[in-house]
Amino acid sequence: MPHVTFIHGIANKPPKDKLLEAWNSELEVGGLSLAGEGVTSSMVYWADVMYPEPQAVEASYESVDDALGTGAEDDDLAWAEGLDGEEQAFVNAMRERLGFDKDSPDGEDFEPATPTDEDQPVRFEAIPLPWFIKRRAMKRLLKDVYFYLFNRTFSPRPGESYRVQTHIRKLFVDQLKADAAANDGGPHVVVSHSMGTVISYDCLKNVADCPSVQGYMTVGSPLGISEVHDNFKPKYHAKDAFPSARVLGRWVNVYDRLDPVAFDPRIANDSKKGGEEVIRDQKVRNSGKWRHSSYKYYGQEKLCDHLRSLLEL
Amino acid sequence: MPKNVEAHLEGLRRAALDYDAARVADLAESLVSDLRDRVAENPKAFVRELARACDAFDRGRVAELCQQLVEHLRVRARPYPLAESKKLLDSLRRKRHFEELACVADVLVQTGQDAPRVRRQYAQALIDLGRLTAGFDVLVALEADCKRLKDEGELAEARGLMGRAKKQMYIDAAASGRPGAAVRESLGEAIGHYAGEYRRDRGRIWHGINAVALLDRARRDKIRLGRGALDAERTARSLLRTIQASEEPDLWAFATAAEASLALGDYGAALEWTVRYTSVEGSHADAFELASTLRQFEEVWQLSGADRDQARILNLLRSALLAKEGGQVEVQAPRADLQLARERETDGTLEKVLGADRYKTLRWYEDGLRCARAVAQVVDLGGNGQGTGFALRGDDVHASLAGCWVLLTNAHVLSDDPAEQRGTPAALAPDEARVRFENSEESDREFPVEELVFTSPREELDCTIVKLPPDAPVVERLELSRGLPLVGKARRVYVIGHPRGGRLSFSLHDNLLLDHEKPWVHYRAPTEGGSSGSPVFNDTWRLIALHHSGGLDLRRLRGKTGTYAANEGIAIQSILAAVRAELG
Repeated sequence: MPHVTFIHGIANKPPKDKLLEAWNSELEVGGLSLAGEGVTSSMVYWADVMYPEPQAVEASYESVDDALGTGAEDDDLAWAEGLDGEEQAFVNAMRERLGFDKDSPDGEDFEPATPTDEDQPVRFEAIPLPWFIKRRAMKRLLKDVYFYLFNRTFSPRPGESYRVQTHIRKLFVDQLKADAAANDGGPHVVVSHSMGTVISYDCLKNVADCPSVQGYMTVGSPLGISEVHDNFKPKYHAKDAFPSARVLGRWVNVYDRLDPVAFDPRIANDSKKGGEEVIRDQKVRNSGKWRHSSYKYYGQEKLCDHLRSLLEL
Repeated sequence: MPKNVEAHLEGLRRAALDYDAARVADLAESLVSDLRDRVAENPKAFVRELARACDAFDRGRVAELCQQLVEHLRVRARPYPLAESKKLLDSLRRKRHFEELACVADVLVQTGQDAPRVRRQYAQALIDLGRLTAGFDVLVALEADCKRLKDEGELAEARGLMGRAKKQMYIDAAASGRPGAAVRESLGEAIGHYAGEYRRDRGRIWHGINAVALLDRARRDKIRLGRGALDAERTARSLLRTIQASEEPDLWAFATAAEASLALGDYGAALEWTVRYTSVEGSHADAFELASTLRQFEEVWQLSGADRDQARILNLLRSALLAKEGGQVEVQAPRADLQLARERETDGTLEKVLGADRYKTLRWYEDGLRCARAVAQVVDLGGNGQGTGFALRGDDVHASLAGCWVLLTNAHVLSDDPAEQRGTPAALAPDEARVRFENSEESDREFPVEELVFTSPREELDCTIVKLPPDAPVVERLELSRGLPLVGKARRVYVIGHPRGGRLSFSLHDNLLLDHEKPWVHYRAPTEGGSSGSPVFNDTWRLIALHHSGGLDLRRLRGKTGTYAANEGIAIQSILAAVRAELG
């Protein structure tokens, strides 16, 4: 039967089974009931590599009122102090790209004097996202991307530490292997949100023993950020970026122009297969201020239609 | 502990000491069976077991337990304890098992457990079963006893239920167009019971709002009431003030405020209160409560799908009810509902009013209404309903059928096979059959069916496919699911048809998917005769099966032993595969 392997994105998450259940529920809102059509699903859960304990289940996931919103704390960027040349250059470039200066203070009262860069989508926002919320999200993205791409060691709980890339790559590959072993026919599709796309792309492109899948869907992807794909190893080449050895079918990229994480959200021109554009970029319009929410994306009918098509339903 | 249980335990102990695993397994199985058969002897265990069966919507087990309890009560030396009696009756009421509730409460009273609460639940069950006079008589006696016992709380509840019985007598008579003095008297008496209790205690908003609803109904029906009646509008305003001033309004307060807004003609406010009733704040409303409110809005307030504002309120309640496990709704789909279903809201206004969750649920419900447009009643030449069928686009069935619509139904409903026409039930021959799309602009017109393109006998796939005439009013294309739902985790299926040969209805009871093994799909939606040939949908309205039969002792699938009460459908993909095999 067809199978979907999800992988989540930045910031802390509710427990694995609750997150999987919630994503399935949102897809139903968009008109696709995976279980209702006999599709099994699983989750590559890596939040526990970066956070001591799961987010409370009753939290309103990924809304501006939860972990990113009023009352939440800014992430400590002490980890970024004293990095060596290449890594420091990466962090500095990302900060500039993501729109926050290392000297800008945390807290909810600060507004940047020149809030937007012309290249950033923020200028289109009909409902402006408060700057402090955006900065918190960007800090989390920066931290997650840095620890993953540079395979740094992180300790989420006392006495427990991980080489982040090594460990999460293994989580992803092991899950795909388990899903492939359990699959008795039908397409296998990977659906990744946010930072989950950096991980899934890296594994599908660069990890030798990663199983192949029939379809790939990226949602709210930061893959368009040049600082991210410049630091994949082996290096990313736009002309042949499609992970064709392990994505045997189509790749659909779903984005919202006002999603602050999905920089350069259309990636078809970036990730080519033999120089040809083979990725379908699908624009959607999420509601409210926080356009990066996975829940909002999964409730979109267009996303569900594409996923249905990838699953050959 | 019963002696045979002690004997079992002793046998188990000996078998365990002998390391005789096979004997332990046999004795354990026998002990489990014995305990299940005798659980009524332990009231606390019985309450737990009954609640479990009710929560799992296992109607077979609920009926079995109630029968066991009745048998136990007949031989029990002393009355069943009151605390457990209350709990088990509450479990039955919450999940609307009124037949069992009436039966158990009756025997509880007969065997000495005749506390007012038990008798009130008995009366409630009788009223919900439509045995209004019997229910009212129980309440008259209960009222006298409550007065004697000075039980003010139960007295108020009993009088409220007396009002409910009289209200139902009036509603039923008025619906059948039977006017007359006795009918008017019932309405007056109902108002008297409710208003009397409200006057005694203005905090009894349940009684107050029922008085308002019936006063408004009397006004619409042009029935003059005696002097001294409450003023409906003033009472409605007073109730709203009470609710708005309440720091922690309970569930009924939201429904009451919605009704008070209706009395004031403010449909916008009524919609907003209904949203609160059916959304997060009212999430504790169970199927019984939501069904009661829906009935009140339809029967007493006479809200209609013909009015846009009223249709929204009704659909909101129906969709909330359908979202509840055990929500029992048979919804006719009037034209205005359809109009709403066809209009996809684009400006987001409704979503702002309803909130995201309610809006999504309402959209889901309206998607179901759209699917209902493809469903037809199969009738004989006399116009008598013989079953249900549904339209599919020809090319969804087979490439050779591109450009036309076809009807899929059961072979035991429609067939050209003489054996099927002689069977029980007897199938109609194609030239004797007509189809009627009730949920269309030509709801009264009957259409002949054309060429029969495929049939499989009732012992096999029990299906027949015929072409529909080009002028058949089919506009809705059903989406077909490629797979069957995963089994487990309380997954639900939905059946739309013409039960009992009546109006087109969503028959959505405890509609749990039980199991499937191609081509069979088993589910617990208790469909009735006339539902044969109905489409079975998954939880996003994708067609998964053709309904074909049901029974109390269907053999379990996938090699499992035993039988259960279930309905059976034929997987749509199995039918399509058979069509492809035959037509090439």
